[in-house]
Amino acid sequence: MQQLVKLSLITCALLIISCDYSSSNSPSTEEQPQYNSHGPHSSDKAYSYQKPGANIRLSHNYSGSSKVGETQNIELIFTEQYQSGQMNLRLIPDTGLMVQPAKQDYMFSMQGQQTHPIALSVRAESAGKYLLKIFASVEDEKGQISNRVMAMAFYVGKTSGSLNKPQPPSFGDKVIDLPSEESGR
Amino acid sequence: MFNKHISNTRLSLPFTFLLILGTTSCGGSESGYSSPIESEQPPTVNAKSSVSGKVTFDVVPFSIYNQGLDADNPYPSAARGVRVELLNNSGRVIASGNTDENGNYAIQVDRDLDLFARVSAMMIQTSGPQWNVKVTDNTSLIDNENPLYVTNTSMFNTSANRVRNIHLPSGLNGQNAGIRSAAPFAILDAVYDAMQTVVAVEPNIILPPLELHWSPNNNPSNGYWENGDIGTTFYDVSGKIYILGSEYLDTDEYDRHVIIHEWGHYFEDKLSRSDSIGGSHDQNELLDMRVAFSEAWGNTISAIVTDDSVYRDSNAFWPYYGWSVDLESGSSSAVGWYSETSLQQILYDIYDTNPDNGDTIALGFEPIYSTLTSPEFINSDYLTSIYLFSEILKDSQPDEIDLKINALLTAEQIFGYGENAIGETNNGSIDTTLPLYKTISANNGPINLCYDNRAGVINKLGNKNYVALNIDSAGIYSFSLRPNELVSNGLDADLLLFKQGIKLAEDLGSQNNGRAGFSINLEAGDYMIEMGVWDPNSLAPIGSHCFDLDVSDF
Repeated sequence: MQQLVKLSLITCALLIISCDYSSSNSPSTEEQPQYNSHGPHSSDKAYSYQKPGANIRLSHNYSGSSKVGETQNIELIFTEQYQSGQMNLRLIPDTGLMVQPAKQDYMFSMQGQQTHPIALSVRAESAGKYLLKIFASVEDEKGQISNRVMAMAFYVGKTSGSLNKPQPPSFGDKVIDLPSEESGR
Repeated sequence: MFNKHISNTRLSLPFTFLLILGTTSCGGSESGYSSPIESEQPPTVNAKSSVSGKVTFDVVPFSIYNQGLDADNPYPSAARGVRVELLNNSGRVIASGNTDENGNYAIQVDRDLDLFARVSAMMIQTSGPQWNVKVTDNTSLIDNENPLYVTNTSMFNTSANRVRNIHLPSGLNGQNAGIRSAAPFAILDAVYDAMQTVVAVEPNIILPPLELHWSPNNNPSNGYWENGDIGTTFYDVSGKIYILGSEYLDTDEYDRHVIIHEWGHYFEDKLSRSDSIGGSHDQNELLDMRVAFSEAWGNTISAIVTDDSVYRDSNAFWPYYGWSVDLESGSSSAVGWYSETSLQQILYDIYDTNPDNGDTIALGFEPIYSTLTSPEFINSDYLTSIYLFSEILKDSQPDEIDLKINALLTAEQIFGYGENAIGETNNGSIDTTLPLYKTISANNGPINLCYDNRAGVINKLGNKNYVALNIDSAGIYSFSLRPNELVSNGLDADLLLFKQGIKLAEDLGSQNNGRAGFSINLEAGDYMIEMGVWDPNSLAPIGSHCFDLDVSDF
């Protein structure tokens, strides 16, 4: 009898543990996190107040990080919203970032809202953060020129993710000491 | 103002230092000096020494050959209103003060102490007009805080009066070992001038704290801001300004118009009101009217503060190295209430004394400031726009000035009047934009609204509809947006509800079925509905896409 009671208690305990495990790992559909409606809006920074500049948007399919020596085939898409005119692009990679084709200058005719793709292969042989500098200039139908400087960051090797560098505090204060010229007596 | 300041302080560095060395203590008036705020030992008669000096930083001028910076010809300029502290060898602050209008400081301290001076990229004033502004590095963390930029002197003993002059070099072109010491102080200097412009018309202003993030790592790639991948210089809705610092791409510490433009967004956010949704904008674009007004204000305040109508932004892009626009004469293919170019010309013409192109008024900054900070502007049931601004401004002016303001508006093809733009006939060639404010009543059937992307997406003319709603009696109301054509059925429609600019409800859900809606308990009164479509990648066919909006009580 005692064994039966013990067995019953163990069974109940297992059931309770099982139920608890089930509820914490298999939420119902309603409990699934809902899509954050602010996500795509705020991450696009549409709600930040930017300085004026040519209205050219850069999107790409780079994953955000790569391995040392790995060749990534990526596509840059430049979207402009001009009715007519010409867009000039100059692409300049940081030293150590190998980009193919090596062509630096691109020119596109603007006729209504268009997207302008550029396919590239990108590779670096040592770890680090590399920038592909992108200088964009548009001349509209009235001959007015405006430009925007853009860049694309490539994190190669172990530097992907946050580069926020903790700095050793001096005296425990939270400062960055800049060098300066000192004179006096 | 900036030009005058520069001309006064454009001294050669050796000459400046000799001038200071020739004085036994800090020259100039005592006014503006802060009293020491902390003392290590009880003061005793005749037991004080003075620590004084001048703080300067490199200003890098614009090139005379292109729109870029002339990094090889920096000159020293006074660091005005910045914090100077005296610390002992344990890092404890013994006394502190601020530099004055000429960059001079003088702090009394006990004798025979071993101290060093620290100049911080911080401006704090706690009496009279008040502010608290600092420049920190968003790409570094110390104990979970972004560190403040400072410079420290070597140690000295206060057995006698001491003079410590401090100069912060630009660090551009490899100077100063490439360390950009002057940058945080150049940024503060632009903000200092902006604050003085406000103080001139509101002497007892209390400005909310402002933190500006600058780093040489801040570059124009989009990513994690803590990595420096900030995209561009911008004011964030969290109340901070992020500034580019990438020398060989785009750095903005010497672009005073750019810094003050972003400070103008801080002003709107903290002291006035802006309903702008921000985003990318250009001089020739047809913009959402709230964006157009907000960006025009940013450009205008930068011209007012610098006393220079030419907005200029340098970068490293050959062959232009930047771009510029004269607010007085800039022409644009976009003319009207949706044009940043039109609105900045109107605002600057209201301010300036230069009679040009039908500009016959010169009201100065005070009426502009008073309008933007008035309860009528901040609490209006309508949205922030050139209409709301000009209506309230005209209410404070005599009839003859009203006529002159109307002439400026008409010259830029702005024909509507009143805060709700009655009678506007300029639709920017997008017919669904007028009337500018649609109206709807509860339980009175749906109205038709159209999203139009011919001028672009996100924040352009036609992307949003504004609908005025009057609620007669309190209760729960249901808001429903439905597509009324097949193509609209695949769009991500958004719906928002505001009361005097404050968001009460929203459905920004990402469902691509053309629908949006919510229910909310409302008091009787006036409300504003915003309807639009989220299509940042321009996937929707170019043209007009229409929806039915309905409001009903439960």
